[in-house]
Amino acid sequence: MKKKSIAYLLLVCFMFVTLYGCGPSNGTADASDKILIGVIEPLSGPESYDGLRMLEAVKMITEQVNADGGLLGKQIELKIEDGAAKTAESASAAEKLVTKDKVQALIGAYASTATAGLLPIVAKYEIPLVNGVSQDEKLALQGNKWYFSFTLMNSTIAKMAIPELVKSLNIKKAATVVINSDAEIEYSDVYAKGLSALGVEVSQNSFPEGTQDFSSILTKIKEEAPDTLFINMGSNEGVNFLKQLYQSGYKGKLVASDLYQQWADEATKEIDGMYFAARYVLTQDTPVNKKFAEDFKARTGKYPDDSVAGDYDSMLVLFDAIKRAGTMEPQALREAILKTDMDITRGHIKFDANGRGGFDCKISQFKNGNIAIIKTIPFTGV
Amino acid sequence: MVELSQQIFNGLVIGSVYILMAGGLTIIFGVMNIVNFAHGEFYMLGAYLAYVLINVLNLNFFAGLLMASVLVGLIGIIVERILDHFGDRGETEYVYYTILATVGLSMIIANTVNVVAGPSQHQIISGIATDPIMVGPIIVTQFKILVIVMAFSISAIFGLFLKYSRYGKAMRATFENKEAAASVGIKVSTINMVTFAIGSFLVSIGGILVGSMFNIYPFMGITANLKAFAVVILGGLGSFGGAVLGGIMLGVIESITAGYLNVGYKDAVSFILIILVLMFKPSGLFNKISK
Repeated sequence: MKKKSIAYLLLVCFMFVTLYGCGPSNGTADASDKILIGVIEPLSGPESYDGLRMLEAVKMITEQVNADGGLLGKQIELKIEDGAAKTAESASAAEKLVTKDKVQALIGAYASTATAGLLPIVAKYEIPLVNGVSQDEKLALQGNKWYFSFTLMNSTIAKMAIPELVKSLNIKKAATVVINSDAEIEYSDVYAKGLSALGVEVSQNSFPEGTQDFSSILTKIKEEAPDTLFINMGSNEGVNFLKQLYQSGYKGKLVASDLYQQWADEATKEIDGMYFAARYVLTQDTPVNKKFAEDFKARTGKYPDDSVAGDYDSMLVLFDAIKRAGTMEPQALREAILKTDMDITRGHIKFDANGRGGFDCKISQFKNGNIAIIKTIPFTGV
Repeated sequence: MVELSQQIFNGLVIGSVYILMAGGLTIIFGVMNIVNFAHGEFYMLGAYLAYVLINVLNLNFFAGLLMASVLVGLIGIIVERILDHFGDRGETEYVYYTILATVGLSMIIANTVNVVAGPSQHQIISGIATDPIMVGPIIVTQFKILVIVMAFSISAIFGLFLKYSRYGKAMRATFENKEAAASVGIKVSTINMVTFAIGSFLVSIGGILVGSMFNIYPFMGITANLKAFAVVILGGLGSFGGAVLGGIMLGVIESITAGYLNVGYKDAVSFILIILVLMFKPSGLFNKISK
C-alpha cells in the first residue's frame, strides 16, 4: 500500500513537471545572462503556412545577431508559443510567456484578432509588444502605450493607394471580397468608402472563415460584372479563392494589398497581371531588403512576403531599440522604440508619440512570375 | 436567369459530393444500426491517401482515386470488426457504444493526421483541365462535370447492385429484418462488413473529389460529417435513394442561399431545413421512394 502511495505521488510529480515544464532540464534561463524575447505565431491551423515562415525569419535574424555577439553583451533567447491566430490561444500564450518564461518583450501574434488578445497582457505587465503585421486600426487606436504598431493600416493604405489605382486602372465599377473578420471587413469598408468617394460603383462581399467552395459568391460577382475586384484574405484561402475565380471565367482586373508568396507559388497562372497596393515588394531595391530576401531564400528555399517581412522588421526595430536603450528596463526600452528612425525591409520607419508608424505604399504588378513596383506613394502619416 | 442557372449548376456539383458522403452513412445506419460519427474522417482519410498516391507518388488520378478508396474500404472493414464486438450487448447499449466508439475514433484519426501530415492545406492535383468552358449561359469546368457524372454513375451502379445482386438483396433483407435475414441463411456479419466497406469506399471518393476541387486538411471531416447527417435526415435514415435526392436538394438550396442571401447563411439554412424535417416529417422527405 505504501509503495502504491509513493508510486501515485511520483506520478503526480511527473505530471506536474511535464505539464508545467518546471523540471531541471526545462528551467528558464536567468534573465540576467540572456535577453528573453517572446514570440507568438500561428504554428497550427489554417494560418500555420505563414506562421512557420514568419518564425523562420525571427529565428534567422536572432541567430545572425547572436553570431555577431548578441546585444548588450548578452545572447538573445527566443521563447516561442503557438497562438493559432486566435484570440484566446494567443492571450494564454502571452500570459505564459510573461509570467512563467519572464520574457522582456513580445513579438506577435499575426492576425489582428490574435494580437487583440495580447494587448491587455502587455498593458498589465508593462512590456513592449512590437508588431509590424496586424492590420486592424482599432488595435492601434486603443491607446495602449506598450503596443507599437507599424504596418500600413487598411485605412492608411486605402487613403494612399485608391486615387492612384482608380486613375491608372480606370476603375468604374468595383467589388470587394473579404473573409468575414474584423480586419478584413474594415478593409472592405474603407476601400468601398474611398472608391465611392471617387464615383466608383462598389459592391461588398464577404465569406466565413474556413469556406472552401466559393462558387456561389463568384456567380453573384460575375453577374454584377465589376471591372475590378479588390480582395483581402489569408494566403491559404487566397490560393483556393483565386483558383476558383479563374475557373469562374472572371476577366476583370484584380487588386490586393500584398502578394503572399503562397499565391505566387501555387496560383501563378491565376494571378498573372494582378495589382497590389503593397506594403512589401520582394524586388524593392534597398540594402536591407536585398539582404533579408537573399538570407531568407538561402535558409528556407522560398522568398519572403509581407507577413514574413513584417516580423523580421519587428525584430529589427526591437533590436535597434535595445541597442540604443542600453538596458532591458521596460520604460527605457519603450522610449527607445518611440525614437526609432531606421531603414527596414519595407522602407523607412519612424513612430509618432502614440507608437504608430508607417512607410511608403508600393503600387506593383505581378506579371510572368515576377512582381515589379509601378509607383511608390510616400507615407505622410496615419 | 443566367445567375440562377449557374447557382443550380454549382448546387449540383456540391450536391453530387453530398450524395457520396451521405450514401455511405445512410446504408451503414440502415443495415447495421450504427450512427457512424467517424464517417467524415474516412472522407478525409481518402483525400489524404489520394494526395500521397497522386501528388507524391505521381500515380494517375483515377488509379489513385480507386486505390485510396479501396484502402479506406479495407480500413472500414477493420473498424467494423472492432465495432462488431459490441454486438453481443443489448440493442440500446450497442447503439450507445458504437456512437461513443466512432466519436472517439473520429478524434483519433483527425488528430493523428494533423500530427503526421501537419495542419497545412493541400490540393490534390487531378491533371484534369480546370479552365472555364461556356455551356450555353453557364460556365463549367471539365472537373466539375466529372464530379457530377461520377456521383450519379456510382449511385446508379450501387442502386442496381442493391436491387439485383445477391449481396444487394441480402443487404436489403438485413435492413428490413436482421433476425429474419439470419434465419434464411444470410450471414449478417459478412453483410455488415461489406456494408461498412462500401460506405467507407463511397465517402472516400467524395473526399478525393472535394480535395481535387478545393483543399484537403486534417479536420475537413467535421463539416463533411455534419453535411452527411443533414442529407441523411432530409432523405430519410437508411434510404439510399433518399440520400441521392437529399444530397442534390441540400446542394442546390445551399448554393441559392449563398448566392442570393449571403454565404454566411448557407449552413444555417440547411440546418433550419433539418429542424423542419425532424418536426414535420421525421422519417425524411424521400423515405417512401427508396422503399
